[in-house]
Amino acid sequence: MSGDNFLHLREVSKRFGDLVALKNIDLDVARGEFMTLLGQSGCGKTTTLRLVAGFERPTEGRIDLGGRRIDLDPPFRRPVNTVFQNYALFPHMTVGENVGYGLRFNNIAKRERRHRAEEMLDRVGLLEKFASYPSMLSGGQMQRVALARALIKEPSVLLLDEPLSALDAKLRKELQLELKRIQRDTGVTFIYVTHDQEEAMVMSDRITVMNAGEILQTATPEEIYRDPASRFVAEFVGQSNKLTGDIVEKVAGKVAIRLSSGEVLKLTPLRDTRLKQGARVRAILRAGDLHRKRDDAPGLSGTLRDTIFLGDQRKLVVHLDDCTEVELIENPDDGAPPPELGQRIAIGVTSEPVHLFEALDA
Amino acid sequence: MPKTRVSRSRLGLAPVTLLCCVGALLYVAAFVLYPYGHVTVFSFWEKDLYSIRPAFILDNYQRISERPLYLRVVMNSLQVAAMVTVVSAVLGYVMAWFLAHHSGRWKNLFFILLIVPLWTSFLLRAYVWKIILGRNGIISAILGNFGVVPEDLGFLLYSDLSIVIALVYIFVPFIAISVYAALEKIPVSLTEASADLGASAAKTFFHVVFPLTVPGLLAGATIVFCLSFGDFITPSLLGGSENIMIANVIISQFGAAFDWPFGSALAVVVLITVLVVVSSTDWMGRKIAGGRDAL
Repeated sequence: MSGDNFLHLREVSKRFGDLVALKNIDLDVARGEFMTLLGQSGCGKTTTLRLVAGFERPTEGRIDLGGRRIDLDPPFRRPVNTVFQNYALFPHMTVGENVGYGLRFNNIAKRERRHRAEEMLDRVGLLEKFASYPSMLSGGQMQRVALARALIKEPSVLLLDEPLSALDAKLRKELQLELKRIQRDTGVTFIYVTHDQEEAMVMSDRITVMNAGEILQTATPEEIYRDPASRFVAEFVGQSNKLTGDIVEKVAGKVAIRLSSGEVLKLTPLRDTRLKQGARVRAILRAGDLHRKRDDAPGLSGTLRDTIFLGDQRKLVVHLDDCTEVELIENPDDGAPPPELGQRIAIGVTSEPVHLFEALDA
Repeated sequence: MPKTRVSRSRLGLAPVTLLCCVGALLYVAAFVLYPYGHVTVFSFWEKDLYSIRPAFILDNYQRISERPLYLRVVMNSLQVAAMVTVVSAVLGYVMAWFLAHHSGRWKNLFFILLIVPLWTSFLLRAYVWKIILGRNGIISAILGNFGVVPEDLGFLLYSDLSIVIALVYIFVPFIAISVYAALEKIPVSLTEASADLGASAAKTFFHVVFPLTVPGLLAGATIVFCLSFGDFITPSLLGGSENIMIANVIISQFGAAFDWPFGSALAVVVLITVLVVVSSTDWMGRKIAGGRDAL
């Protein structure tokens, strides 16, 4: 463990009655890190956040922050603050009162509270809303106020529970960058919960991928994308094509897979795989790993079903003969004419090696 | 801006809106403006020996201001109504809190228990206290075992105390229900946010929960205040001759005394008093609640 890690979850489990929300997880977060907990709803990411905040207590295990055990403390004694998914602004207080609220409990005089609240609001660009009530603000503004209200406490760790999920796409992109900037400027450790893998990729120093109450992988966005530890992570992160088939041949590090369409695809597995001949496997191929093939080299073929304009790129949706859907991305300006729908398309694999995992289901 | 397909009248209102407005206006005109207007007009009329004559005289109001008896009764009624309101507010708040946070799986049962008394007759609910507080009542029987003589318990019945007890019993659900509704409407995330920002449970209650329930509490308290101020059944059943309330006086003017103009003048005074009290508490409440329609 790096000595810089200062938030530790050790063998933490959480059960709600019969429901197991977290199964014995270990998590270390470094000081000043932007850590994202990524997973689908019900994977335990929000429960993890609530355990750190103190709204829930672990059934088993312990949580340490800066060398002190905190999992038995009530939330108001923890040096941790939360930005809630629905903002949770106090509707009966002005924006300024909301932001200054937490300072009441640090025995800070009213005048000083007001001064600091103004400073903090200025920082998120909402000083002119000081005397407004939350009901007069837009979603993005409410989110900024919620952030200011939490940051004014100068927390050791700031917890953010899907803070951007209620906003529209454009605003979300803006606020992602702004959050990242604020995190860098303040140096506060962020733990950010989201189900949006793109958001996680853009913002995080490290990502923890969770599923069914367990941590599957903790790594940098780059590592998660390039070297996913399991099939679930590989499929969950990035847009992936999933091709299932049986290994028919293993020669010199290459693996030949017969797909259910009957075609044989030769791939170089990323890790020295111990998958045996005859094993059923699933290959995970990013949309960018595939290209439209114009030579006669062996590959896949299918029917073009859709062309999606992506600005400087375009995405082709191709159905293989066994109806498996495959997506590939190409640059339109590489000379090729735009293909017509229904046309036969030959597909080659651009970048090798690829991820091969044992197929558990058919 | 999305276009609505609803056709609009010349006033710029949709037909349904217009219908609702007209309905509300008709209702207010028929059941509020007309009766009160009529009473106000009556209050300037003149009573001859056995008949009432249209006139414009201030004698009725003069009589109220000159005889301390009437103002004393008004003051006494205000006092009783205020007592009932304050006690019901405290009791109702505690009940609502219990119902919202500590009743667990019995919540529905407790809620029904709170409402059931409202289904029985008002008269019955007042009368039952005559039995409980009376000389041969339960309290007297229990205390009798400890050597208390029924004569010492005379203060229980036929006093302001018995009126207040009965009215609190009758009206406490109004406050409990409206506070309960306000409590249930407060999202858990608000109390969590408050705790997260460093507030203990007591401070969260003081700074967040209570201010958000003030509108509900005031709504309930206003109803209780008005209903108990204007009640005449409870004082006539449980009060002594000293404890009459203003509604009893008004009733007697309209009934036995056959002095409708004077009764009307009293009613106008009562109406103004209630309006003043209610609007000033409403103003105070708005200041506490932060001047916002909170949720």
